[in-house]
Amino acid sequence: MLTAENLHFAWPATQPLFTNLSFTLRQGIPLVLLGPNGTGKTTLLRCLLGLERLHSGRVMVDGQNLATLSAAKAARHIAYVPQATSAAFAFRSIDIVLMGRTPHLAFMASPTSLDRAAAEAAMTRLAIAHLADRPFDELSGGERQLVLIARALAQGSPVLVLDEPCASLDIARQIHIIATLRTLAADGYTILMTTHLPDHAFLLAGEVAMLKDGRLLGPSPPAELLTAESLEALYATPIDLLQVQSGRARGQTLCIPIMPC
Amino acid sequence: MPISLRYRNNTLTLPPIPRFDTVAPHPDADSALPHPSTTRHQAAPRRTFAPVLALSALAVLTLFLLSFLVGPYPIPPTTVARVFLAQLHLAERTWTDAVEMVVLDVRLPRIAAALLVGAALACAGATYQNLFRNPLVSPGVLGVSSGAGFGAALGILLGLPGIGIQGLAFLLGLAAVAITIWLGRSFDRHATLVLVVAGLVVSAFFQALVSLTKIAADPLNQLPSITFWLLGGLNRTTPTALLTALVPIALSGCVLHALRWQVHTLAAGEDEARTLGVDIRRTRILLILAATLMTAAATSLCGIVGWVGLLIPHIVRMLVGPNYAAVLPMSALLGGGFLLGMDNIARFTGTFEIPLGILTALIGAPFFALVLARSRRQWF
Repeated sequence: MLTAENLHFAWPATQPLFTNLSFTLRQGIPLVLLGPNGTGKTTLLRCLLGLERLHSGRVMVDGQNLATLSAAKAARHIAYVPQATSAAFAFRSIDIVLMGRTPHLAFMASPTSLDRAAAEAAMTRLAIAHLADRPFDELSGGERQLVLIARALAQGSPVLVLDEPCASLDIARQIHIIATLRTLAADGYTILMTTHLPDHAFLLAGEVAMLKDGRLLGPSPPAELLTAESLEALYATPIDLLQVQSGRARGQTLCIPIMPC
Repeated sequence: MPISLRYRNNTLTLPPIPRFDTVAPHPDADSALPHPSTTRHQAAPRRTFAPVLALSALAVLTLFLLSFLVGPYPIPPTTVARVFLAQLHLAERTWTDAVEMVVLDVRLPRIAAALLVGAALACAGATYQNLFRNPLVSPGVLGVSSGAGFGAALGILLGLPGIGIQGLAFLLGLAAVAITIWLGRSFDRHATLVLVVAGLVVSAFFQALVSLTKIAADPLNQLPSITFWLLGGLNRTTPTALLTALVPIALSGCVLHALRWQVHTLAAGEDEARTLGVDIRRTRILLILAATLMTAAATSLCGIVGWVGLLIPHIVRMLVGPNYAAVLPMSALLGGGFLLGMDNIARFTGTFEIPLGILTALIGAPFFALVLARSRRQWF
C-alpha cells in the first residue's frame, strides 16, 4: 500500500504544479492516472519515486516515509517502469533485467547465481524467457516494455509505477500489457500507471484518477468517475462513451472523441 | 541471500512458480519456438568472458616478451631470457654490463610503463563512457589532460627535475578536474551531463595557459621539451617515475572493479539507476575520483596520448559485450597491449623516435573509423 499525503510541488519560479494532493494506492487494485498532456502526470510519478524534491507532504509505503530511506531501501519498496527507450549500449535483455537486483546487493557486490535465477524467473513470469539473450535494442517496443516490467519484478518491490506503458505500442501489444498488469495486480502487486487512453482504465478493472490543474479526482471505480461529462471537462473536448452491446467485446466501454466539424 | 519476489503478503524464498495459464502468450512469440515454460527450468548458464580474457592475456604476454627485442641496441632473445633467469640465479652471467642495463633498466621500465599507461587510459575511458552514457567520451573529458599538460609545461619552464615535472602535471591534472566539478555544481547540482560542458570550458582555459607557457619559454631548450612532452612519449621513463604512477593507478583500478555492478546499473541512466537503488552521488564522485587519479597518473608519466581511452573500450565491447564487469579487465589488458605495440613501433623507427601521441592518433583514428563502420549500431 502506498499513501501520498498532502503533496505539494512546484518547479522553480512557477505556479505550483499541485498542492495538497493526497491519495491511496491499494494492493491488488491497479490505479490508472489520466490527465491531458503537460498536466504533471510524469512529475507526480517522479515525486512518488523520490526523483523530485517535494516542497511539503510525504509518500508512505508500508508505513515508511520514502524520503527518509536510502536509494537502495526505497527501491525495495517501489519499482519504476519507464517508457521503453533504447539503451546507451548493446545490452542483452537479461543484463537489463539483472539491474533490478541492484537494491539487494551490497555497494561493492555483484549479482550471484541466485540473482540470475530471480531475473530469469521474472522473465519467465512474463513469458519472455526466450528473449533473455536477445539484444534489448533489437526487440520490438512491446517486448522492450515487458523486459522493463520484468526488471521491476526482479527488483522484488510490491509497488510498481509505470509511466505510459502502452505508449507507442500497437493495439495487440497494448492489450497484452494491460492483461499482464491485471494478472500482476491479482497476484498482489500494487500498481499505478499513466495513460492517454481512458479505455485502459475500464480494461484494467481497477480504479481511475484524473489529474488536472493541480487537483486530483478519485481514485474511484471507472464506471463512477469516467462519464462523458467528466472526460469532456478533463480533456476540454467533446467525448462520448459507448458501451458495446454484442460480440466478443460485449460489456466493454469505449471512449470516443468527437470529430470537430 | 534468499530471493524475495513478493506475492500477496508472502515473501517467497525461491524463484516463484511461473503461472503461464494466467498470462496470454506474447504476440511477438515465435510459434516455432518451444513454449518458454518447457525450455527454461533453471537459470541459464552464465555467459562468461573468461576464454576471451585468457586469449587476450596470452597475446599481451607474448607481446610483452617480444618487446624486449625491440630497440636500437640488438640483443638476441636467448640473451634476454638468460638475463631474466640470472636474476633468479638460474643462469650464468656471460654478457656485458651494458646489455644488462639495457634489458633491466631501460627496456623493462619502459615496457611496463606502456602496459600501465595503456591500461589506465582504457579503463578511465570505459568508466567515463558508462558514467556519461556516451560512447564518444574520452578520459580527458573533464579537463585532466589539459591540466596535466599545463602542469608539465610550467614545470619545464621553471626548470624542475623530471620527477618535479611529473608531480606538477599530476597535481594540475587533478586541479583541473576539481575546477570542472566545482563549475558543474554551480550550474546544476544533480546533472551529470553538465560536467561535460564544464570540462570543455576548463580544457579550453588550460590549453590557453599551455600556449602562454610556450610563448614564455626559451625557444632553444624549453620550447622543444614542452612540445615533445605534449606529444607524449615513454622515452623519459625511469623506475621511480613508474612506481610513482603505479600506486594511484592500481588503487583506482581496485575501486573501479569493486564498483563494477553500480557502474553497470548506471548505464540505465541516472534517474532509472536511482530507482534501481544506486546511490548516484556517492557512486559518481567515487568513479570520477578513481578515473581522474588514473588518467592524471598516466598522463604525468607519458604526456598526452590520445585515442587509447576512446578506441579500446569500443573494441572490447565488440569482443565481450557492454557489461562493465567484463569491459574493465579487458580494457586494461587490450589498452596495455595496444600502447605497448605503439611504443614498440616508436622504438623500432630507430634514431628519431616518432612521439607516441602522434602514433596512437595516426593508427587509432583510422582504426576507430573501422570499428564504427563494423559495429553498425545507432548511438544517438
